[in-house]
Amino acid sequence: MEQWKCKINGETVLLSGSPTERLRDVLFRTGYHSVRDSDDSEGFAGSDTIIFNGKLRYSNLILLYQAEDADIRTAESLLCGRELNYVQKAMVASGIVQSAYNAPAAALILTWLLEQYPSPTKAQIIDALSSIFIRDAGYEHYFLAVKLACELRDTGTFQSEIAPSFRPHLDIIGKPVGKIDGAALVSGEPVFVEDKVPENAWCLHVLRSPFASAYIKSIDTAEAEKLDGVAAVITAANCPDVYYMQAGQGNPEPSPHDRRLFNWKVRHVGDRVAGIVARTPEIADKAASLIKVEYEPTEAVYTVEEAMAENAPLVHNGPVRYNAGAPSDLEEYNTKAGDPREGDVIYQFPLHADIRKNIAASNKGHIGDLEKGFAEADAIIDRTYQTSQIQHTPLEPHVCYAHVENGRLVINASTQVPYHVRRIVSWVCGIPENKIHIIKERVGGGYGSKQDILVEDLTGYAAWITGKPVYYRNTREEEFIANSTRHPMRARVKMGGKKDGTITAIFMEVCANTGPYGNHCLTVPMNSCSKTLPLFKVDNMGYDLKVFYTNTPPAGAYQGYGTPKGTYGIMMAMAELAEKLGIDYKDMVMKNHVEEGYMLEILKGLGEGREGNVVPVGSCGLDEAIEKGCEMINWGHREESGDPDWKIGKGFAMIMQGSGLPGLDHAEAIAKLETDGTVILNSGGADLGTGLDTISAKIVCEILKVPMDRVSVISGDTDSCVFDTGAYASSGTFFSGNASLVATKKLKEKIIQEAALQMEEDPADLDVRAPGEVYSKKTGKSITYGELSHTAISGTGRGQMVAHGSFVTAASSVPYGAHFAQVAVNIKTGEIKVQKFFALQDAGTPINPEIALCQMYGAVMKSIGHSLYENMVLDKDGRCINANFTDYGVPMITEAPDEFKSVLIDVDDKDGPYGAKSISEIACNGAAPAIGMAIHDACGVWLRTWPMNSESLLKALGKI
Amino acid sequence: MKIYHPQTPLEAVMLRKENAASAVYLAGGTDDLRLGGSAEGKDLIDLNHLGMDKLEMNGDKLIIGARCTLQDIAESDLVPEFIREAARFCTSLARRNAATVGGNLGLRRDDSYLAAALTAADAVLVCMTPHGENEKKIGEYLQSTCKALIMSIVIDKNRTGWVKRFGNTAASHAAVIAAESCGIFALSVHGSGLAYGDSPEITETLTYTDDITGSAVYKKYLAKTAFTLRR
Repeated sequence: MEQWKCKINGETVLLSGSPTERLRDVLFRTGYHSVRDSDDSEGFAGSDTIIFNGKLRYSNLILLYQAEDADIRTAESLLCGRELNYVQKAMVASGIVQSAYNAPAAALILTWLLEQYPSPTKAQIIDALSSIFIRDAGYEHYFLAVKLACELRDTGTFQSEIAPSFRPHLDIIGKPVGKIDGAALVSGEPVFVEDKVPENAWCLHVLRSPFASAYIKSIDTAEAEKLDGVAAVITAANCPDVYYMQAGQGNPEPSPHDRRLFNWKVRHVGDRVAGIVARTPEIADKAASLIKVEYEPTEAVYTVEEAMAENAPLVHNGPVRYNAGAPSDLEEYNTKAGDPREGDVIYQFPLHADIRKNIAASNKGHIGDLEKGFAEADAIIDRTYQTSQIQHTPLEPHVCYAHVENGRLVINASTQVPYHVRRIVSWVCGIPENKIHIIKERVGGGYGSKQDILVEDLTGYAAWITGKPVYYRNTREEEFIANSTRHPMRARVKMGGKKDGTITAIFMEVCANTGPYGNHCLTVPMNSCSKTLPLFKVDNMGYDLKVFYTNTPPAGAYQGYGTPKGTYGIMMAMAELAEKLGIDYKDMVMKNHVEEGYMLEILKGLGEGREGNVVPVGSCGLDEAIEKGCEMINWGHREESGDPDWKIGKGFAMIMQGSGLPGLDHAEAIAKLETDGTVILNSGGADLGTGLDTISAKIVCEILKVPMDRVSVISGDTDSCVFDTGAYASSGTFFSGNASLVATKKLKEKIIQEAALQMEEDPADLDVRAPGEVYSKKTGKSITYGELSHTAISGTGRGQMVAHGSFVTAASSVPYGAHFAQVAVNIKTGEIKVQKFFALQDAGTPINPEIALCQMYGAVMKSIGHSLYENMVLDKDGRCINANFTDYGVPMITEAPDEFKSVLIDVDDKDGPYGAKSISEIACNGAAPAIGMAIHDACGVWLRTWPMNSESLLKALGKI
Repeated sequence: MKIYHPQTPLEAVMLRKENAASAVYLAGGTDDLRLGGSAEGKDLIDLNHLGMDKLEMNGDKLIIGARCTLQDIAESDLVPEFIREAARFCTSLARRNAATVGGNLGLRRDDSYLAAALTAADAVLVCMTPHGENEKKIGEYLQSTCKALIMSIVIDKNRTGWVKRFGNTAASHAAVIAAESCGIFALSVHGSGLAYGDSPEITETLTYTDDITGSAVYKKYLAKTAFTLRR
């Protein structure tokens, strides 16, 4: 290896490597871990940004030899010892440091900006941030971060309000005080999976199918296995004969077990064919080229229409088994099974599937009398809305590092569901759970895709059978073709209403495309109904949903689950109905939306494959969100652009979600008083950048009256923590937060009891107070937690104070909101610009208000992307032809609305921890219908298909 | 992968000629070194020691060195505004800091940020060939397979005009870029290439194709409409 001399962060450094290596890779290898890679040298996402001879550059697009004599700055230069610089502090304070995979790069960019322009304009900030893709927090609070940084630099403190505060009677809950892992994340500490991989790790490479549907006639791995440096080649021929599925859902899952690690039938372009464990990527590539696979291509289906057609090719056609509730005619059904290479499909319980018709799951139900409801209507709308296939595009792709230690399989994972990972790896590897240790590292973006066990299954197995330390990382292309995506969905909505605006009946017919495997196949489409119909105070409502297998890239969980798609359909339909009836849409919304106490009968059939809980509407800020939003956007007033080609319109949608799955989710935590009186909380919850650990820490602080720096949260580690179903279905704050609350309250009780003994007082006279002591209301005596704990663990003590909290509930704390859009539409060119977007949400008590606001901005930006730009395009052979950021079309800062506001509606909830409800998923639901309505308001056409782009608008306008 | 470090434009051109099948020029690297870029598996002729990175006035002419970056163009008051706007079509500052004018033109990308604007500006390219320097109208160069190395671009300093881009997002590949300056009309259309002439009828000279940036019908419509927009 040659050496290249350059200056890095002011020091002369010799970088070693091949002259044509990417500078990014060399910097990372040399220890500059802040320089990350999100795009495999696409020059797009900016996680690899450095300052190179004074200018912002992508280090992936610089070769090592070009660094000779260069002056390089990385984000490591921003720290003074362990002290963050003023920009980093401002970023943490403003709430934008969330999953934070490229937060160090963003900090470097903003520091550079302020060095060039001490008081930058908005345009200069936008230009600086044009180089970086932010998926988690949106861009809006970056402007605030710059403002705060300037204030801190100039006055030594933050002057501006960062976020509103809630609950004045509480010390820290509802106050913007920053994220407990913010400093580590923004400074570029080695906190991600890739940072834990030792130099001697072997790599796992996956050979993938070029066909959308094919049997593997034969696979010859002999030449590959002979290569020096190849430890194993895993294929359908030698993998465990275990059927499972990759969705991280509660066990038993409402998803079919329809795959093995490798199958004899490949079902999408990019499906696994072989896994190669090799000493280096180069050897793995060589080995892959030596594997001889003979395919027998079969006909494929790509859309629900193709999948439901008579005599359609079948994606799965093997024997079906049930672990419970098998139908009586199963034996006969299985006589129709096809080629043995199809493999099995195992249902945990009936999902009303029929794989011989490509139906992976289905459900239908209703309340009231639909026929009567429609008969009473003065007007009926019957429309179909289509959504597209969308990728999560987390900045950190799916990665996994696994090794065997002391006879146990240890997996460093970037996951939302450590306990589901452990269970599924246990099934696949055939080893008991006590022999598996999952360590959830910081998650560099999940958005639902890391709710699925997409890489840990194979990486874990590869490490277990070879005994090698094994590292796997998806390429960006693999993120698109071999990962999970948002289910494309077709929602037909029939809605009837009276002239006075009363809706008399709603019927939703949903057809969803789950791709080749059934991850979340029932529950995602169910959400399109279960999180939309309960918004309506309508007596007659029904739904009929079917989910089809196809040969597209796989679908799975995605922030919002099926709700954004159902909301798009149902809100657009209501707007169309209002137009047909000649009444104001807002009046119709106000007349028909639910309010506190309204009994939600519709939920009975809308459980997760089981009977749902019928509950009344709880705390609900819907009215206030709608009224306030209408005021902000000046609803009813038509804006003029001054240019006859540009028309301006407005729209809004009411939205809801859930806060976990009552009756299904389960969370636990352990709170421990350490020997010096500090607290460690072991939470089963999985913080994926959303601030869940901070929520747990704040709960401890609030209950025990200790400052934040006296509390540490260890989470998502299956050895040291206790069970939690995971961070999905908006359950984090509500379930994991409540588990922390229960554990800490119990710990407080133990502290009081112990203090009573040590102080010889009645427990009833004792309470706790800041900065962490027990005091007697009767005698005035006090004892610090440190003193208390020290005595408790002495040779004569009663032991460490430890409390375990478990939380389950049948209660359902539903967040509500309303999202408003104002768009400008060019009727000549079809250009669409979101001018204003206002997101108003009732999150109960926002425990971390600044982080909550950023999650709303991030979710809305994603949804603007989904609505207007993003779309995976497949060619006629099922190959994704835009599996990269540039062609796929993620929104950057240039696509952000000109005026963008998130508003937290103050509602207290009786079941959430300190009144909190969920915040983030719901924020994905409003953009599509709000924008769709605004487009119609602007130019009179309804766009009923995602993405609503300029081409589709021109078509609708009859221009092309 | 071999790296050549020519010290003069002529040396670079001779290296390119001698290694036509195996080597490519490397300027800013934002296209060549990108995922799937043309440098993959090729030897590199590094142009970064050749100078050619100045913006200079010569009478009423502006001479843009081929190694000027898009950011140099975007922020220079010497450059006509519509050409600065075209440079900013490359929305990423980090990419603009590296991407060169010569590279953006030399690759003949049909979504080139600058091709339409500079063609409408009637720019002249000063090129190096194995036989020495020559000059070529930019439109002719872009529509040819000429392998000459662009050394500089010459335009009238007071040139006025407009440029308009259509794309899915600001960072996506452009579907259509249209420009007009002093009666010269130019179009870059993804999947179709460059057209230019003295009337908007140039839209009829291209064959439009369906691709990731949009359907043929859509792109043709935009191409035609671009020249009718109010300014």
